[in-house]
Amino acid sequence: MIPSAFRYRRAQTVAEALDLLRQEPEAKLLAGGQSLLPLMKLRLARPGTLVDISRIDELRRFEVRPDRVVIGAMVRYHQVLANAELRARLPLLPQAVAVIADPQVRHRGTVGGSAAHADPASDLAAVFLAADAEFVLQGPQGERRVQARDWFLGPMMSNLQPDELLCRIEIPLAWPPHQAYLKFPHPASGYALAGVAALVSRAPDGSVEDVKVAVTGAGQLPFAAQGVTAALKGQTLSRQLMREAAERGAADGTYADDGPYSAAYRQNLARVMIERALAKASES
Amino acid sequence: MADERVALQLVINGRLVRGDVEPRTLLAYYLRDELGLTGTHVGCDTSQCGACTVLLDGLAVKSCTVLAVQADGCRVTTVEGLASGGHLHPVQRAFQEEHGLQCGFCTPGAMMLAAWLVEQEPHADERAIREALDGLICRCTGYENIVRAIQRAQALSEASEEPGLQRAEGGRGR
Repeated sequence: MIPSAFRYRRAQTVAEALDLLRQEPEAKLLAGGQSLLPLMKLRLARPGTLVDISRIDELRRFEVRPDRVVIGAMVRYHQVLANAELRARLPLLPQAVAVIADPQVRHRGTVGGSAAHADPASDLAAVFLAADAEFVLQGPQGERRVQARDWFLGPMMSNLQPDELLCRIEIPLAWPPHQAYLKFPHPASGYALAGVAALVSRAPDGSVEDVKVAVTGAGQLPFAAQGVTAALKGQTLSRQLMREAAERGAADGTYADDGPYSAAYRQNLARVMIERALAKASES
Repeated sequence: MADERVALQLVINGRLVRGDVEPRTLLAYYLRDELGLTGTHVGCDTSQCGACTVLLDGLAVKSCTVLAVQADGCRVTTVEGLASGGHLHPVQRAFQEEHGLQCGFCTPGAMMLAAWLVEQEPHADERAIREALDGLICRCTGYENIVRAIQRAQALSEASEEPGLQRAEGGRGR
């Protein structure tokens, strides 16, 4: 399968990429291409120009700082998996990246590309929402920062404007390592039918100081399951309490019937996976 | 627009190749149709099956989902580049000895994925090998013999002085 014809431009700097986005008709940015190229081969996407941003040094920055991790838009999945410091400070992220597609795709695919693509079943969407990621964009008007809760506007639609470039993602390192990403994959595609990111922080007496959970795949959009936080904050964890919290958290999503999977099935799956992710995170 | 061609230069199986392509040319098709390297097979052509796996700067990738222009300036190793100096690569010997194939269609991709894994993670256990094979669909073997072949390749690589990929690529570094 061959994509329809397009012009190819390779940007060396962010400024050059922004110029090309402005000048070229129907231009689209190309990072790792693991989502865009399959869509182009199916001719579901027919950009007039591809602006290749893979050679822009600035976008390859990857730093674990004391208070946050900075992930340049061109950081590829396998680089996330190889970062030992990140595994210690934000294990949630490599746990999610490890279950994205397969080794070959993880060698090409990028964290930034996934964010910009905004697939509602993307594993990283749950991580971004649970860990309060911040997206740093450059556009004709300069820099813009968008919080994760404002990022996913619709299926395959992020807050990124057509004349903007996602430069990096910053994730605060604000949580102890009681973290888990759990996924119930579609048996054929491997995409998340329900993927849950959970972060738990315990007070010295063992009670829940804070907890944050986000769900991808199950709902029409990825969502923060705020009901979990409301149900568990300040409480002492028990199986029964986690079950009730999962019920309330799953209710935060908006579900739709989709082929063999009814809305009720999807909500139930979200509930089950939230409960399991909570148990895993609190035991980690 | 359809007339635009882009110059590119790559090192394929240790040999410098210069050419120019339509931007939409996928690496798999460039290798097969332009360079005659038909060892790389196109199976599903939708980034699922992994039959088209090659190494790009030492990393296994699906060449049906990489544009040739994206590989500009990179090292590419295809199944034709595994053997060197008349000697089979440990992965090739292992697939032969363990009968890691039946119809052979996915085998070029299976061997390139295996070559990457043996190089990257020489001590991967059976579970890790099976995880990595998530990137390859084989409809014949049921994977048993492929897993055995990779384990054999690990042993052969460890026993040999020179890791095979460094030979095939004329140097390492990523």
